[in-house]
Amino acid sequence: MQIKRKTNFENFKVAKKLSPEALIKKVEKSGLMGRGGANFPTGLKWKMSRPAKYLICNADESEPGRFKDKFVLDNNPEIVIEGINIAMYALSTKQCFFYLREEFKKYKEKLEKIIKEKSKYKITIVIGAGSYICGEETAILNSIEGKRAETRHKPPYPSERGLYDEKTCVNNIETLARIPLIFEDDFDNELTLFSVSGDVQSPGVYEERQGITLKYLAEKVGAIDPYAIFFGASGGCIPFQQDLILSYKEMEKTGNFFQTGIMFFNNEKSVPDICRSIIQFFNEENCGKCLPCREGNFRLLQLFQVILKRKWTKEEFQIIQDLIDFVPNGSQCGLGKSSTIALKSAIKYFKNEFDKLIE
Amino acid sequence: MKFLLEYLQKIQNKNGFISESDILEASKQFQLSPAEIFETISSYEKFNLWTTSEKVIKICDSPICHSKGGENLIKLAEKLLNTKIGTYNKKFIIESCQCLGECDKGPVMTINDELFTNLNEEKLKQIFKDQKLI
Ligand code: SF4
Ligand code: FES
Repeated sequence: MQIKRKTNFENFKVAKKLSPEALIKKVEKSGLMGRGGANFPTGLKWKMSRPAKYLICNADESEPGRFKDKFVLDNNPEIVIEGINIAMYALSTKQCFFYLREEFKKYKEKLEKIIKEKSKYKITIVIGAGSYICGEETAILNSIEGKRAETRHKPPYPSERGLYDEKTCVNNIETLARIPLIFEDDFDNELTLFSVSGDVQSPGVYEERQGITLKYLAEKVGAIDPYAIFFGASGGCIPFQQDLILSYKEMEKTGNFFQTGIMFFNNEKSVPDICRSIIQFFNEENCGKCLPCREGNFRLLQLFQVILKRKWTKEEFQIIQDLIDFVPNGSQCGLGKSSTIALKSAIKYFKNEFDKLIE
Repeated sequence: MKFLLEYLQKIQNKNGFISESDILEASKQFQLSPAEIFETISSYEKFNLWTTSEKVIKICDSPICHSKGGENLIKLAEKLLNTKIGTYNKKFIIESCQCLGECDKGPVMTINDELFTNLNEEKLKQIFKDQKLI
């Protein structure tokens, strides 16, 4: 795995031989895309943020089915710190905040030791307090400032006005870990960490190129009777298709979002039941600011609790379908906008399972 | 630089909750109104406004753990401890929680900060015994 490659901060030395502008050009040319989920070009983000007052390393990973940030923290925190150093040089930044989800607080000491020994810049570890939404690039700003875990309106983007109203660059931890690799001969911008879980023999994190097929991944992880695939909680779902290409572009064609958290479910599992758990997730994790997201997800959950006792009436199922569009249309941020994708695609592809639940 | 979250975490870790007088003190230190401090506290899961049980048992009910029996484990835990989810008592409380980022080892739960993975009914019973819950 490239991401596990040991570092001596040699690549930071090479990077510093370039001017910050030339360095950003190099990152742009590398084709590296952000690994937080939005797939935004990293070089372009840096160009827009420079000169940034702050850099934020986002390790607030809490998407169901995704556990690759933890994998990086376990296996190669050094390369992240090197990536941060390169980024801070390129962005002319003096302060970085390394934001860890609360469950990752055990990594603080290890990180601080590496920072003390190796980092040329100031990096402060910030620990969250249990909030999925803080992984969003504006909610994380509020959280560091000690405010409610809520998103901010965009624009302005953090690159224009971010932390304490200053220009800020927010990068995912895997993105930063890949920065030093750009300077290696075998750099491959398609390499991505896939988190694989569910009904498979070997769940875990795999480094693979984007563009692999689902069949390849299923074989590699030993999928057991794969039936339904969910892409995290917010990416949508599809029936298992051997030839599905795992990339942003290809997945868009299916109406789903590509998510590197890939959850395999076998045919003993009920798709509506998985959807119920996803709705519960969004119901608990939304920040409550927008009515459609807050109340819509709550109403959906109530409706999904109905089927634990009896079947839906036709009217109830119609309300579910109405809410599927109502929630994202009236939501401000990505959480609300994506909270019904899984349900929408589940109803589309597994209609027979839902039909059985209607009177 | 002073960070409100860090300040509150210290109190939370020490006392298990954040009291009214803590809020008033924080409000002085950070030059914010008590309402603003309360706003922050109430928006994060890890902060409590009143004392909580000695052992907080959180069982993950996000999709992977859920599909591997997380929900049944919650029911079993309720039965073993003769309580209902979310019901406080001095010794313990059972809660369901969202993905802990340990899906490859699901179903999982935490008791206070300790993580337990690859759970099944037998294992849950044994852990409860070891923890002197039953
Ligand atoms: S869409 Fe949901 S999570 Fe996003 S800002 Fe609105 S209420 Fe908060
Ligand atoms: S679904 Fe339980 S830890 Fe992720």
